[in-house]
Amino acid sequence: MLKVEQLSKQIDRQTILDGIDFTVESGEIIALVGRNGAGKTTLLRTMVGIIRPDQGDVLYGTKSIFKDAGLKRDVIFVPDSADALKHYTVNEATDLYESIYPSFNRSAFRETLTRYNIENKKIRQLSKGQKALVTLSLAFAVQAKYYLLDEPTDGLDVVAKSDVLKLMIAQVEKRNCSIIVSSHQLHELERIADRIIMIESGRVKAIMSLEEARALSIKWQVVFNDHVPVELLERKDIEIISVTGRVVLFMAKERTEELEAFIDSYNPTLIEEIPMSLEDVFRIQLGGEAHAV
Amino acid sequence: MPSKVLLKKDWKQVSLLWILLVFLGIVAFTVPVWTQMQVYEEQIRDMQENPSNYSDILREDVETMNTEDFFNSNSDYGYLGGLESLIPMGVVIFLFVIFGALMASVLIGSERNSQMSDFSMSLPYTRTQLYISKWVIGAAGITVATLVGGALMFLIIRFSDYFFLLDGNEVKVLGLIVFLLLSGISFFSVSLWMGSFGGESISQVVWTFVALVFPMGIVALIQGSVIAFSPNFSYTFFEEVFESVPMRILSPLNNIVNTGMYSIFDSRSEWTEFLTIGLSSSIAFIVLTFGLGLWMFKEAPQENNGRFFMFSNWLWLIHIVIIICFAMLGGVFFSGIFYPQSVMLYVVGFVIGAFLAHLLAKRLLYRFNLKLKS
Repeated sequence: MLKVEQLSKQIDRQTILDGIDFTVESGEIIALVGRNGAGKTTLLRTMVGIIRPDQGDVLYGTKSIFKDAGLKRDVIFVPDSADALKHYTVNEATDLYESIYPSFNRSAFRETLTRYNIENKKIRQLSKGQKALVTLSLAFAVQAKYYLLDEPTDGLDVVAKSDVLKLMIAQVEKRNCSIIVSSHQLHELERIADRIIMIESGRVKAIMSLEEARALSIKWQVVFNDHVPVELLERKDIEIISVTGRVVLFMAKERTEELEAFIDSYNPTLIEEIPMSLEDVFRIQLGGEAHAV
Repeated sequence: MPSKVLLKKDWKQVSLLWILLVFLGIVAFTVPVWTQMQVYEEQIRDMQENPSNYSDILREDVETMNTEDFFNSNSDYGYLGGLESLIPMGVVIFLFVIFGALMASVLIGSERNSQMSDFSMSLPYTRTQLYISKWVIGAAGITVATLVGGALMFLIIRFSDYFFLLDGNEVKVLGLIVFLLLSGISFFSVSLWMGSFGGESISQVVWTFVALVFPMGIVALIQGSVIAFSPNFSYTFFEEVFESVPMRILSPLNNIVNTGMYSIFDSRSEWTEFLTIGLSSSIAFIVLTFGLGLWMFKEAPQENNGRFFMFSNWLWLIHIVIIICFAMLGGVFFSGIFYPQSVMLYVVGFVIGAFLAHLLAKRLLYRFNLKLKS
């Protein structure tokens, strides 16, 4: 079990992480979501011991990552670019990983390379999708217990994204490892994540399953008899998505009796609850995301 | 012991420079020797062909003189030079200063510039192992360059017409080669340490320059300031400071300057001082910089990678040191314009220097610090 305990970090007198606290069980895929600058990357870098916290600890089992570097054999951090290995060829990178991690499975890695038709070139010469696949495949071939992935699908085309997601799911199914993945690709996370950790201004705003996240807020399409009431449009606790004639589509942060009574008071013709996507939950809970797809 | 894996990883980064250093090290040790021998040869030939031009030196028939006679300082035949002119200390030290800084900046600074630093820190190795590996690979480059270059230099002299210069001096030449080796490792070691001061390669090189110059520079500034206030103050005091053991330990450049290269072959006391103070100061400097470098590498906040100065909590101290140094420089400069030196002008220069240094430090340490990062 991975345990993040009251992690706090200030950089340039700004609080980047503020008492972050959560646990991750084996076999879980955790989606780390938050707006740009919320502290996701800093959190991941701290969780692997690159950055030292001002307070708090990160425990893998009972051991602190800051006291036992050997733990990192089972904790793999994959940053958002393959910049670190750009001067290596694929084979050289394989040799490096094999020499660092005794558990590295060369044949599993070779299999992935063959499947995706990746040649033995310098990593900087590969396409963005191929780079992501190589770095992730290298990481997964280590057969570690924990993976911390920072924006693994950022900038990838649809096919490459799908391949990366398949790789992740296959690992969890095969080896019961845990993956903590930070991404702005919310509809991708939605397909794979067991739980969501929402980070806002360095704090954990919420930790919940996707079902819980969806139940937390509401998305309604309401058809009124005459016109959409101005009082509804002026409410601060909802976000209007669209207004088309007598039809309004909106989201609310919370399902409240007061809101239901308010809508009912206008005797609408139809109230339809639309399933919330993770992106919807993100928008209404964290105030939108410019880069969300 | 350093990890083989880390050595392999660091080798990948620094191999080109490492090989170039060994090659240039061999060139630096051997080519100047060869060139100097050519110079000797030409001088001897010229003396033999035109003895009348050297009548003040040559007191006997030049035809009867052999090569050895031209190098005998005790004879009446003249003196062309000795081993000290053959051993290319300056060239080798220059090479080691440059390549020490380059290798260290590739091993730490450029790692901090890229994601390589995060990659290294995320590997299952302690920061101590990471640092030792970098130090070992750089020190090994300097060692190989010195041993191969030094051995070739020795052999060139041994099998040349000037072999007699080595007679009885073999150990001293060996001592000088070891001194060059230790000086080279000192330069690399201080530069690697500075990789935890500066958060990227260029600032690491800048900090290396500062670290090399600082000990002698600060004493020179204090000397200038003291003399501006009391012109009759003894110069001997500062000469003693420059020649003191602590100064030789703190500054490898000062240690080289104070090593009596030209007299260790003739003077027994100089040779003894070289063996005791010269070599041990170098070793002490290496131990000191390695220890401080390791400690700071472990403590350096990774989040400040890419900045001009890594320890942002200590920016105020660097700010004050910059102001004091530039203020003294301004004071010394202004007071030296007129003779006799004026205390008033020193104060004016001090204030101007302090003000300009404050502006420079603000830009360099705060704005530039963040700009580099972004």
